[in-house]
Amino acid sequence: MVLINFNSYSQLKLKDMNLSYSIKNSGKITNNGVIQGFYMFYNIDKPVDGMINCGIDITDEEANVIRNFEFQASASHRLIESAYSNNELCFKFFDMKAKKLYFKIFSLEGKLISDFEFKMSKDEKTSIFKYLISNEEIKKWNDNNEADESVYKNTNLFELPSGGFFSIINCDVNSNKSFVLVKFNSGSDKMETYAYESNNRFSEPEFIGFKKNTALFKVENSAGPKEKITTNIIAINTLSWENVLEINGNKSGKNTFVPFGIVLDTTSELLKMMGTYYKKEDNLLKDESQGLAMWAVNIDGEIVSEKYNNWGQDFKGFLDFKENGKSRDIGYVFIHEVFSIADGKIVAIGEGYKKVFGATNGSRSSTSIVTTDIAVFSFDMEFNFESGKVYQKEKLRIDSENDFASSHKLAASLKNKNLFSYKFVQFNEDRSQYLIGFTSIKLKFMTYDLKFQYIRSENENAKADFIKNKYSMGYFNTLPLQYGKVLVIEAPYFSSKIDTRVVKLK
Amino acid sequence: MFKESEKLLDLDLKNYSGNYKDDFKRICRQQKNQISSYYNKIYFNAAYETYLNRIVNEIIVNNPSLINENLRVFFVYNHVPNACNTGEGSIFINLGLLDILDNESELAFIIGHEIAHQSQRHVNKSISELFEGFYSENYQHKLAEMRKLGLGRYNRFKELVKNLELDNSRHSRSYETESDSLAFQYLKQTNYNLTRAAESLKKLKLADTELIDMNSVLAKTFHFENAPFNPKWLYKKESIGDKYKQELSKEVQDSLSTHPNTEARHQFIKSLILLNIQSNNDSTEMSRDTFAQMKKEFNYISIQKLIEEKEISKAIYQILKSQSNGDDNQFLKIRLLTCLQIVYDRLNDYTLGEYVDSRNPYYPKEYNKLLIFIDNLSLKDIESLIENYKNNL
Repeated sequence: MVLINFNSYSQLKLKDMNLSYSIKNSGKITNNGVIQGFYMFYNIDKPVDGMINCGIDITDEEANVIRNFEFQASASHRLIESAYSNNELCFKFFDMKAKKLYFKIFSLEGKLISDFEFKMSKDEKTSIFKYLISNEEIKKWNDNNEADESVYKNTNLFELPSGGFFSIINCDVNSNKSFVLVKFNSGSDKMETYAYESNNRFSEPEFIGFKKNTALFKVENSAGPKEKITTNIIAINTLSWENVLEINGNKSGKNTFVPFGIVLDTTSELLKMMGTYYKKEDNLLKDESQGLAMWAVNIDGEIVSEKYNNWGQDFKGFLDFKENGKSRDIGYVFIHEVFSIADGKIVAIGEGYKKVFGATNGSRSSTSIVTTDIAVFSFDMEFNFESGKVYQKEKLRIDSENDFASSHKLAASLKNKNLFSYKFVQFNEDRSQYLIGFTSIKLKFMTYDLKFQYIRSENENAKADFIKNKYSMGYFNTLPLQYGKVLVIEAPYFSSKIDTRVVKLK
Repeated sequence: MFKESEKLLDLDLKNYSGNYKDDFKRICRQQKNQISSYYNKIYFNAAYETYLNRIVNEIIVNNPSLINENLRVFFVYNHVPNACNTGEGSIFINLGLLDILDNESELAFIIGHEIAHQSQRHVNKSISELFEGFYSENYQHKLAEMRKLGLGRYNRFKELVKNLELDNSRHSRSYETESDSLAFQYLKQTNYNLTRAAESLKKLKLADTELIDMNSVLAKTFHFENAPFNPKWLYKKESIGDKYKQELSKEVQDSLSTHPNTEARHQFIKSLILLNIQSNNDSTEMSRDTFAQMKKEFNYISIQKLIEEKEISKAIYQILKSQSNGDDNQFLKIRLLTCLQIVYDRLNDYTLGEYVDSRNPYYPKEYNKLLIFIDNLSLKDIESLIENYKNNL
């Protein structure tokens, strides 16, 4: 048994090559909603002759790398987003040079299974390009021929329950700013598309969930950037890829319903959606919501039942809401998630916010948004409010981008930039328990305390606790792993050394 | 003691006359660091040190060619059944090695094997071969071609290095066989029992095999009359790790193994024994009692060291393995309690990951089962286990 480690010598020589690795995207590998692993996409080394080496690491649910594979791609390919479905990974690329949109599907063993190009006319290319790529990136590409993505969000590429993927592509449809839904399966060279034709100048979609083989979307329509927004709900059959249902959020005649989640109810064929509701004449971006609502709709588009919980009337003294929906305790409530659990009950996670005068030192604004506490609402299967609880955290002040914008518009902007304290919710295998994670920052003189706080609900009980940062003024982030675990990433101030550890929550 | 090794390594560097002094310096530095870490783990016990040196002297005295070898042999804190020679005269015997050996002849064979590595300068030869391989005209030409490639050079480099490493591991295996053969010759001059000595190779193979049924052991250890074992603690969640882990070729597996090629080596030594008939004379064995005492103590010392070094899951594994082999000692029970308390405290302050490994598809199967068990325990479960285990002591 001889003591010379050749592996580490080769690692030394590898370092001599000065290879760089930059992570471009990552996502979850799930099976029936349960996390079983993760994947990470990265570039290796610099581009050469217009090509670049790309790598994909597959990890298990404990973040152990179990497999990796590499392939070469054109350096002008900019990775937009990625998704996992049924043992396959899909990557959506935009070619900055050729102005083309590609979808590449790989097996988890690293085999390229399919390579789709989304065919576009010349006009479509121009309009899609504008939606996908920011001006800064266009400039960087023009100056340095570098396709660089420093921030990524996997928000428009999804897995299909029956296998395969679909994607939302924002583009012009009949000269209006609308979208196309594309569906594709590996093993098939066919790409099915559904273009949303609207009389409105602007149509912005958001995927809200599946009910069996039906995909539901909320579409916000308006005649112009400062015009009133109306909401439509559309349902697409994922097998035929046809629109089977479209109803307006004003259909009930009483209120405007804005859905953002689906109620999982396996006992009913109805499409049950949860969301907020407004008065019919309200401006969704400026005015306060009236409360939380649930609609149950049949496949013919008829509203079978509707339930409204008004802030001021139906929350039994919880948070002491005024008529305008503002809580005396925590301000307005931004609803981050609404979901149902195994016993049919429904839970909504909200975070308080208020607009205040005064901003941080050196800011150009005179107003700020302050995020307050986390509020968890519990409802029964019929969406009757049962109970609520507030979990305190440090108040966080963020300077307003626009002193004249409404609190709600500013809150929507905070959400878009991931500046709220709420981070994620995790579910156990049978969805009987959930765990909510959020951060809390306390600013001190020349330093700050960072905490990752969590609430674990088990049956009727809820436990709350927190993990504190190790290094003061350093980097601290938590990423959700499988239920009950998080990956803690920390680094001391001004250090390139990163500590990562898997933490089991109590 | 390390200073002497350091002097010899510095001399090697001084005497190097090749063209790649910088790389050679790197290798020497790496070697120094590795040896230094071994020296920091020496287990000091005057009686056992004397015993060890008497075995070494018995081999040297009966093999005059070894008289000028400046050998320094030590026991070191390490629970893995292994031993090594570091090339400048130091030989380190892991405390964990005695876990798998049964008598002094077996230990003498292992020591003889390491002495053979030293006497044949295998470490220095390995370094030379590495340099000759890496800096050969053929290899350098391939590297130059690879650099010109630009794109794909990383993959090409990995492939080149992998082949070089496999070549080197093949050489390592031939050195192992050579050392086995020499160890046999050394021991032939002594009165150690050769048949017994050869058994050590068979046992090294067994050391890589898990002979414990972890789930049964856990169910037995943590079952109490008033608090029966909960089968949910063994529940193994589906993981893509099991489905998608990369399968290594037999050659690569062997090259990564702690004890490569043991089956072939054992057969080879057996064939040598058949050619050399010898009586079953054990009169050379210094002290059976000392060996037996060391075997027992070293297991406990390794476990204690694992606990001190925050390797709690490994410590629990060793404890359960010992108990399943029939060791009913109170020491093990108390240490198990200590480990459970540490798991409780660390789970409470969110640092459990620094003390307990996470399940990993590349870990041994039974060890993974233990990790799954620990992972499935809640604070309340651990509290109850501690209470019940304490009451049953």
